[in-house]
Amino acid sequence: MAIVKMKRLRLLALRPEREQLLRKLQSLGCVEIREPAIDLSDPEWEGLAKPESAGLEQAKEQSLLLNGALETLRKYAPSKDGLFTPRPTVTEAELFSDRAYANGLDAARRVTEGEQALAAKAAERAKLQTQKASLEPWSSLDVPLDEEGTATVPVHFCSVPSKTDFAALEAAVGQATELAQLIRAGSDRELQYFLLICHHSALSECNEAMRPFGASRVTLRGWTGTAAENIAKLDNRIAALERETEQCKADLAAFGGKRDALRRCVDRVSQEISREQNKARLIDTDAAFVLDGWLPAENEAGLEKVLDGFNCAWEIAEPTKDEYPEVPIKLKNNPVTAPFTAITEMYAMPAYDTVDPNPLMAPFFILFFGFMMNDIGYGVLMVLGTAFFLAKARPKGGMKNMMSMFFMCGISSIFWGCLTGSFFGDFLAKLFELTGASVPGYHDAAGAFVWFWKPLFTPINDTITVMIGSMILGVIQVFVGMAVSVEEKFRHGNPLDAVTQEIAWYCILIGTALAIGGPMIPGAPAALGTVGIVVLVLGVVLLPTGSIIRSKSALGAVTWIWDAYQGISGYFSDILSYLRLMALMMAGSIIASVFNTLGSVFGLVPFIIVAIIGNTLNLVLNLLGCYVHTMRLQCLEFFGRFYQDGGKPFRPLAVETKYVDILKEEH
Amino acid sequence: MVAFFEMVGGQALAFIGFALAVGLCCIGSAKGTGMVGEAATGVLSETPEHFTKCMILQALPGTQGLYGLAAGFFGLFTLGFFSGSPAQLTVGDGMAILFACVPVMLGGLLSAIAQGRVAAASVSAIVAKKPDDYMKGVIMCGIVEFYAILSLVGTILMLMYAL
Repeated sequence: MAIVKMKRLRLLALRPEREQLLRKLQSLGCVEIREPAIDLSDPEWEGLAKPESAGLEQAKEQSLLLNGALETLRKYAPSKDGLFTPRPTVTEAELFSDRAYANGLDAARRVTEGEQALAAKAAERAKLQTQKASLEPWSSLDVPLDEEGTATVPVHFCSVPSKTDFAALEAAVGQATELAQLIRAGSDRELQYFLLICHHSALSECNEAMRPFGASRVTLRGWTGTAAENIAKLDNRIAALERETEQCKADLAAFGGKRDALRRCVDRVSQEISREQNKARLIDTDAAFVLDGWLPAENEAGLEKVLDGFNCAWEIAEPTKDEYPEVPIKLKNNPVTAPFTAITEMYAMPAYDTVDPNPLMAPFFILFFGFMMNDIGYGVLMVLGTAFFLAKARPKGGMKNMMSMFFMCGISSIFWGCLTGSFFGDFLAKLFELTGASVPGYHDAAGAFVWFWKPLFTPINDTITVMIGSMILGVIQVFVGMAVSVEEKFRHGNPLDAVTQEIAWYCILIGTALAIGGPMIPGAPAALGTVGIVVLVLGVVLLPTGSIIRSKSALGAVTWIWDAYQGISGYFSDILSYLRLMALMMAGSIIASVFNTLGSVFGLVPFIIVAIIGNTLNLVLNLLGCYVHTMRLQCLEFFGRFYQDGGKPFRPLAVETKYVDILKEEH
Repeated sequence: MVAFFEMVGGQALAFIGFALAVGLCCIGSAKGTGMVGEAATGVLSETPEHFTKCMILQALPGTQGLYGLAAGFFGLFTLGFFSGSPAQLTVGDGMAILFACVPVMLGGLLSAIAQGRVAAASVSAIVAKKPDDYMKGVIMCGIVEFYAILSLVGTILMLMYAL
């Protein structure tokens, strides 16, 4: 429920033990290695160097190979794993087994070779197809493609553009000489092909006559036999290639069984990569190395036990104030508040030695989300959906946090839904109206069923109540935020700031509310208004005092005016912003009731169909809307009052897997 | 002028409101989803496996059309057109209904286009480059969606009080 206390670790150990030490640290997963602040180009540090990075290169190469193989398998042996397939569990020893890894690499190489073979076959097939296409126009010609004619009567293979009038060409050649003949072979999209048989004496006239038509010679080098014969040969070869391709694909699909092994190898190699990347942050001497890092104070004993087994010297110290901006941030929370780390991380980590916002935000987040959603049906769907997903797919990290968060918000939605009497909007009321069922419960003035009991309020009939209610919720949250800020300022030795800012504003806001609202409360003592004015004046006096004391001159009063303006507009707009609670609450129920009404006009069956479709849509839109707007209220209106960000998240060297879960062994 | 409106009648004025609510919202949604669709074809030609993500983003600006239809339908329903005995409307009633439809008309039309832009940019930037982060694009669109929802709520509230 707090920001975890961190300690700084400085470690000197021997290089031959480095690999083993890093592996131990990774398995322990509690040390973040930082780059030491040593300038290696400084001559004073001569003799120090960065560790070699060959291991990293190799690990990255292997990772590329393994991931490529998985990608290939995805294409040729699609995985049957669905969203709800949980990850297998392995021990660390299994994950880091060298034999399994060598086997996996071997399989990955064979898959890659298979894919390369497949690509080569595809390329060859494409080449043969092109050749076939170039021969196709000649297929009607019963002349070998290497036919050159005789010395006196040469034979030329020629082409003209497809839009050329072939009859005109023939006529032109006929006019130029009688010693030539054109035989049309065929055409494709661009060209018409023909054979020119011409006496050698008339060749130049003939060419002259053909030139205006765009005729040119076609080279068919390397072919023997007629076009038809060659096409048949090519067809055979293509068919054979297709068979081979199918075989290759089947071979690749047979590797589908290796997918789990490959995934395990990917997980293993990513551990290697992270270890090598961390290694790069060390500094080497000839025989030893220096490690500079952070660890949570609670893990100190465990780490020392591990380090005792090595020849090394270390120092673990509390961070000094100067080091605070460097300290990585780890948030420790209970199961209810931990899921909200997802929101905090999305926003920004808090600075070290400030407050962890999760436990403060969690109750408001859950409350506000439910307030906006306020529907038993939607809440039940959220609870069931997230519970099913959490149980079946065992997600981790951010996904797990999100799901747990929506689970709790679902419960809150059910709670608020009970207050407003909403189950998929007014689904039940419409259903009973259509079926004519008479159900005991609360009925409105016209005798129509409303809900099983009298709703405390409904967003449509009690709009003003809901509006005031959402602003009151806003005031509460803003006040809590201010209280946190007061506590922080006292803790950090700035009581003056706390008194002249937050406390002054408390006085102003509460005083104003009492002065205006007090007399309006029926039966309230008349003095309430007067008390309000006194409190208000106190606040108004406190506010400029701070500015004057801080600036040590009466000129501070000028900045006070600016402070006051900023404060008034800030509080006003912040609290008005909570009207979105009302807006989303109303929107959800109005859209639900519109859909329920839409179908009910046409009878029972259309009513059910339209209600299912419409409510599903409404649920999805509401989930999105409630999530976005609840988050906004936390991050802007609430955090703005007290939050100090700027922390870097704690990223220890640890075993982080994507495809398998690690079964923790005792060290 | 007054004579002209009396000639037109309250019911016709109400119908102008409903018609524009449905029509303009649908125009907005068509433009919005169209924009996203165009952007999606570019991404899908390279990475067809992102179809679902693109489709979700494309569907988002489609809700405004539905809101327009819901508002128009709600109006017809409350006027009693489906129960067969439509209420008689004065010119004043008709005007009130026409103006009650203005929020969803304009809000739906313009928010669908604005949302379409965000969704199209999410498709071509987020889905194409960091597909795992596409939910962030959806959230960005959700912020625009809020104003379409507010427009619909405004219209429906006014329709409820206008009658």
